[in-house]
Amino acid sequence: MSDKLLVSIGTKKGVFVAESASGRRRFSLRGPFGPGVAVYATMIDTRGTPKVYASSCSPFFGMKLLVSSNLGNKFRETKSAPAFAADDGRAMANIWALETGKGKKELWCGAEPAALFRSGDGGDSWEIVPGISHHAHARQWHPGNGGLCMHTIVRQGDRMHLGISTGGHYLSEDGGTTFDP
Amino acid sequence: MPMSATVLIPRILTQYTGGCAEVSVQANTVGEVLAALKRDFPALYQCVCDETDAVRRHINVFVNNDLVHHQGGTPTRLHKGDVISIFQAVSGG
Repeated sequence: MSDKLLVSIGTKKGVFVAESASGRRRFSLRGPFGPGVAVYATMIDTRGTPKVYASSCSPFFGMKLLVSSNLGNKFRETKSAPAFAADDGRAMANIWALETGKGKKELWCGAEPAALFRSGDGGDSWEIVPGISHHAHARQWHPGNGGLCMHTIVRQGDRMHLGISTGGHYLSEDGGTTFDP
Repeated sequence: MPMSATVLIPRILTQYTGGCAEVSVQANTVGEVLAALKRDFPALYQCVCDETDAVRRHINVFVNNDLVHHQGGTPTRLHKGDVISIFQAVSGG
């Protein structure tokens, strides 16, 4: 069993980090970080130096991505957050899913309105993934009660499953280049 | 000839202006003020406007005591001495 257990918890009040020794009998709680701002997605990245990521969606100031390199004791904003291009016509409403990719720095991010973004540098810069974000179906998806959001990313090697409310389930078998329902 | 305009920055956003609570830009309209912020303080600009360059829904921009939306929006022309203020919209309940 590992020496330490870390749990990152996204709430409407920010992100909290709970830590326990291997016995898991007691947890200490840190936070909230990004206080007062809803966190819809958190992820603990155990590749290399462990990092904790948290989406931070302010209704006033828009989207940020927070990252901690010291097991959730302190967070900072990444250099940029996923964003649509100026000529896309869409504006980022929220980040719903974070997932690790290949190597030590690749990250994937599922957003609202439904789109997929990829970072190759641990979250400091992002690019939209056109295979799904500009899919022929994309402009036909309609929001459900919870909004039009890409809420689930499940990856294994070059296979990537995406869950989109209410677009449906899409699969890539080529590392995110093309997707089919 | 653009004139110098003062923009008041809410406390929570001064982290993006090096701690400055007010900045000066050269502009003749509110739209030009926002364009100047985009150029000079891009991280601040992203907090005020979204990717479509629309002022964020819960952000209010004032010219002196007048809400810009009620004045005609970002084409609102500025006059010498005008002060532009950025506020989060807050409502009671």
